[in-house]
Amino acid sequence: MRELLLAYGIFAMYYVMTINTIYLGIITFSFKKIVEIIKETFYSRYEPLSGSKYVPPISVLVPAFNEELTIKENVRSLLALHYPTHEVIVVNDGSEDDTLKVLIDEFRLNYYKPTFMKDTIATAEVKGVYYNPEYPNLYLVDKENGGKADSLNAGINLSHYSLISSIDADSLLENDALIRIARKYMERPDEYVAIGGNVRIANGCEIANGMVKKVQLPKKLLPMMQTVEYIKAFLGGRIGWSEINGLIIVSGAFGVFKKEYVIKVGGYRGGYPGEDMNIIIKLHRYMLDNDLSYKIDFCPDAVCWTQAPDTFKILGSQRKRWGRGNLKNMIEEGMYMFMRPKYKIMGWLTIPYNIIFETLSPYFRITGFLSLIGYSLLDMTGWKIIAVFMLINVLYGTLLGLGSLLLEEMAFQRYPRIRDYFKMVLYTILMFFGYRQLGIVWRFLGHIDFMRKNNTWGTMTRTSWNEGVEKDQAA
Amino acid sequence: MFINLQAAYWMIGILLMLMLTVAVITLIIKLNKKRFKKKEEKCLSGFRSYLDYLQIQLDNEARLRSPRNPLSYFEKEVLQKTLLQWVDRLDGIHRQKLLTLCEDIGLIEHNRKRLRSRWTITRIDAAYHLGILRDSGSTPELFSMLYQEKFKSSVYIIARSIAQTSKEPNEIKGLIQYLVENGNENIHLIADISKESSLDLRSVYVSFLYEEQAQLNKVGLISLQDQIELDLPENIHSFVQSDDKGIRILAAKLLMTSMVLKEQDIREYLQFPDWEIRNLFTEWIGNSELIQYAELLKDRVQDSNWLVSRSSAKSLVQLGSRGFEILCEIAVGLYGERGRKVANEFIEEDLKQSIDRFSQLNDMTVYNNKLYTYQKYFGKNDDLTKAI
Repeated sequence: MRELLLAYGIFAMYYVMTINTIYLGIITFSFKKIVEIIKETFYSRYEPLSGSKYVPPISVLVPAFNEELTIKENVRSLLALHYPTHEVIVVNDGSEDDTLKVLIDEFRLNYYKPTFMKDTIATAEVKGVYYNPEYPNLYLVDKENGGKADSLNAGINLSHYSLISSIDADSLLENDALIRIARKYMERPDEYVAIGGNVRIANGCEIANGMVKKVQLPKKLLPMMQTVEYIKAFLGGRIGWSEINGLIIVSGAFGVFKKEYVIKVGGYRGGYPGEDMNIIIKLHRYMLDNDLSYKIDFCPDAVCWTQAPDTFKILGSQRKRWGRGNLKNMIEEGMYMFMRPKYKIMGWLTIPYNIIFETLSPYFRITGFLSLIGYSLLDMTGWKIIAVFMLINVLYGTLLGLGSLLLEEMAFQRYPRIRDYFKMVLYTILMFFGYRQLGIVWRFLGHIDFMRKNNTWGTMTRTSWNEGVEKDQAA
Repeated sequence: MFINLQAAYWMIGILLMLMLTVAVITLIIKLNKKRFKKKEEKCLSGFRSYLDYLQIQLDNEARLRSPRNPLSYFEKEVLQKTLLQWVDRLDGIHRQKLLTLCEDIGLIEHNRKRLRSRWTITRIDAAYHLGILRDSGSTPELFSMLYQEKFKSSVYIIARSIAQTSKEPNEIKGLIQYLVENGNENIHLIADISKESSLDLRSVYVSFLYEEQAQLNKVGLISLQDQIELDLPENIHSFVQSDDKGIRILAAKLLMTSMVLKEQDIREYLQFPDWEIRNLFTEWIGNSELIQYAELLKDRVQDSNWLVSRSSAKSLVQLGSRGFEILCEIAVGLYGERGRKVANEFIEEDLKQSIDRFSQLNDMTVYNNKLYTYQKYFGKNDDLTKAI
């Protein structure tokens, strides 16, 4: 029994080591691509481009559910984007608060019957469309509650342009975010079907008029953990995955899509979280099934700032949702692509990696951890082996975190202070002592919710973007 | 289970070494950038009075003088950053004066040297700056750099610099052909890059219309839309019948901007099989307030495509009293069931908007006219009165 427990525990540690090794491979691709990204970031002339009539128009879709605190600033910042032609379509998804009223009052919007809308994709009932000719590129769709995916589909039905951008209502886009993605798109417009932006954590930053004025690290523990976690996932992970066209997700917070293909794959899948991953997998599958040349890319210099959950309760809800969405996507789509040659990188690497090392990871990790506890209760003679393997995994993970911070420093330098770097290093290490383990447990609980068909959204509260500033002023 | 503690210790050692190396590299980059920024600020404060002098003298005729003392490599870099920002913002004689000054200071020579650096990032930086400096002397070198570069994003950075520096339309033609042949439907980006050139490229764009390659035709069709004096080649109408939908739409746009269309042409385009082209023309009639074509929009409000139908109704609203009357005719069902709903919606909205604009006597007359027309077709409608 003792040997069995030890052997299983060691197996689980090899499992984690394998994840880290694959991630090391991915981050190597990120390093390979970073010089080209630096060139694009600093030497592509965005200012003239943002006034060019050759840039493709984009419909920006903003699903909003109970967003009364942040929606005004967000819409204002979206309307002020440096982009030649874009429309902003806010979709009020049956909010129970004053989201609709706030927008109607702020922009003096008038009611129109929803004859505006096509019914390209079926959605929950649309009650009306609000518009004011003084804001010719702003539309507000009011519909019955149907979820985020349903709202995006309603936005697609109203959109006038061939490119759509999905943006979370609790996120802020940098002024040049859209034009940076558009420039990338213009290089290979017939190949790009989706391009994702870089999501950064806004907690701690100074925000005014819907714009991040001063970038600062969060002061609270959880947002700080998420800051380093996001840097690792986006810079260390997504740059690399996109280099091999194996990106499995374009963040729901900010991405640009070719509408034609989103419609061809049936639009966003409703009813479950994880619609952002689902749409990307469906796009990969559609393009590969039809033998079409395509690319799904990531644009790290196009930045979207988002509010990170700052309590365990809200973070737990979010992570359980992610776990549920991931499991659903793997069952619904991933299984059909798993190890199938026609799906190329997706079939051979991305999907297997996701199933074996993301979806199933709570089971291996939790059982591995329990077996090591069981082993240590029975006998501790092998403690040295356990300690050494644990140390290797912590060091390996920290190395990957440090690698991502190096990428950040090479290309973006959003956190220029030396002490910010040390703070981020500290949190990169701290992450392995409780936070990661908690994440695994939440993901497992998400799977349980999935089995129990519990499909509620969970806790999600918003804070006004101006709250930080107001607090400072009060002080 | 394979367990080799010795190997594990080695791994820990290697990981620690790697971590240390990565952290040290990051800190070195960070410290260098901080030091560079400080040095830059100090250097810039030394140039403060010189930059003030430049701003004051920019409007004078006299040539701007260079700084008194010879500039170091670093000083050139710092001054270049500020001066080129100004070059980018200014136009005409001011820009020319600054460009002459940049040459006097030695910035062109400075960047030409850097163009031969062994570091790719330095070469790109130099190419970028030579473009802003409009240095025609470096065009051949930029071309060879372009041909050596892998076809990635940096190619477009160099291409933009070539467009800015070249003094020969044939060079731009060669550049566009190279980008089209190696790229992938990148026509709008190419058109944007070619707009960086100060040369008259009309003949180049027209020559593209006679090429066999569809992508070159498209670049020609897009770029010609910006030409002020437009004398379109004869073959332009043949593009509207092209098998390539993209070409058909671009050709229709070009014809529209050229304003050489007769009523018969417009009639045909309003019935064109591509809804995009029908939509283009319905929008154009409204936006350009071409009242003489109001009757032609009647059928388009009844178009099977919702966008065309709505654009036509919107355009009719923009065409004044006759447009409004046509909408009433459609809404009352004079031409059948199709389009009635859309027409009704736009009528109601237009009446509402007319009331909102009730600030001048003229607005009142317009509103009363519309209300009279409305009541002529629908009689007195209490629901509508309530709604507005």
